[in-house]
Amino acid sequence: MIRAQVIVRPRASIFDPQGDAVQRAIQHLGFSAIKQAHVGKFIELELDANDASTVRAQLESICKDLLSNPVIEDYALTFEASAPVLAKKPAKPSKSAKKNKTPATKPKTAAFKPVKKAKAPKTGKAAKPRSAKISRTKKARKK
Amino acid sequence: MRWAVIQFPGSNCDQDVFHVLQNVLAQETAYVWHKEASLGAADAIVLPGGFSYGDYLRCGAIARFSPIMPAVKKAAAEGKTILGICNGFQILCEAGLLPGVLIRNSGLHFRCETVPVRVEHPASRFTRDYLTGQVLRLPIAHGEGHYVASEATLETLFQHRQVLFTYSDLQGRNSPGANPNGSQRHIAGITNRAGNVLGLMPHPERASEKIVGSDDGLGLFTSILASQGMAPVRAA
Repeated sequence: MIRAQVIVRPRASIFDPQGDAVQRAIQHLGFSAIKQAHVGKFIELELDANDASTVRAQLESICKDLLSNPVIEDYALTFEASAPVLAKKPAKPSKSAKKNKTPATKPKTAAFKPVKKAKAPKTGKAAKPRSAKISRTKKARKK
Repeated sequence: MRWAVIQFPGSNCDQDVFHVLQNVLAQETAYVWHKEASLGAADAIVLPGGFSYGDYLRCGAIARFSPIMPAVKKAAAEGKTILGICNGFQILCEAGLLPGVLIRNSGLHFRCETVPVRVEHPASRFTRDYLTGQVLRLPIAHGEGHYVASEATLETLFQHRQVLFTYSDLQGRNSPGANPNGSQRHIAGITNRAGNVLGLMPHPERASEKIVGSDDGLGLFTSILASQGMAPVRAA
């Protein structure tokens, strides 16, 4: 498995209002050594492939057509092996292995579930009106 | 005239355009969902304002790949009238139907106000009901309306009279102070070389009835009708 990393930068010839604001903010903090800032994007793509050479051409066209706009931006595409840095996936099988070994974990999960269920609707209810409010304000700011 | 108003997920000026076309100008108007592949028998297509796909990645960058877009490109190639307002302008640029691109306003602020917009010339299907240098009062509401193109592209746009609208003061003078977003050469609206595709950041559909404060934008729609030999009938 490999991971593609795309860095999209504003072209040097194009005025970058965000970079300009960031640079000024940094100067405001008293750090005068920063002469220019550029704000771009970092996009990571996880691929179901093992060889970068087989997908490079396709990804280059995706970078040109979708991830960047060649009129104002440049991009850099790099690949790396997607090593399980967070080690989440290997952790899961070991848990299930434990479950298989000790059936006593079953009542534990059952005991936890009602608690989670009881909490979940509360947060869900609280979250829904908030998101609704946000969407309303977004709608108000029509284009 | 038959009009299609395309609805993208996040479009929010579609109903305003629909109202002006159907209720103010008595036009046969239909919504077309972006997942459709056909525009039916539409003579003119409107890409309305809004925040298609939440403006993720870049404004219009994802909408540009919507299933309806091949039909829009085909209609543009056939010479049909295509009007992109605000987010619609951004989508047309991303789709390559118009040159250049719209980036973050130079002041970083979302500008939501009525601004003076100067008509550059009436020799187009979108401006024939206006006068050269006429100053319109049109609402703008955008965070990314700063028009950017290469110097060569800008020269070509002016040379071929593709710039139809610029930001100006009330006397019709272009100046940095009257430019709300930092657009190069104060550009507010441009057409393609053939003159049948227009993109503009101001909202003519929000200034098409006196009751909403200005009907200066109505002339854009009546111009399109007149160019197709239609009398500008008011439904009233």
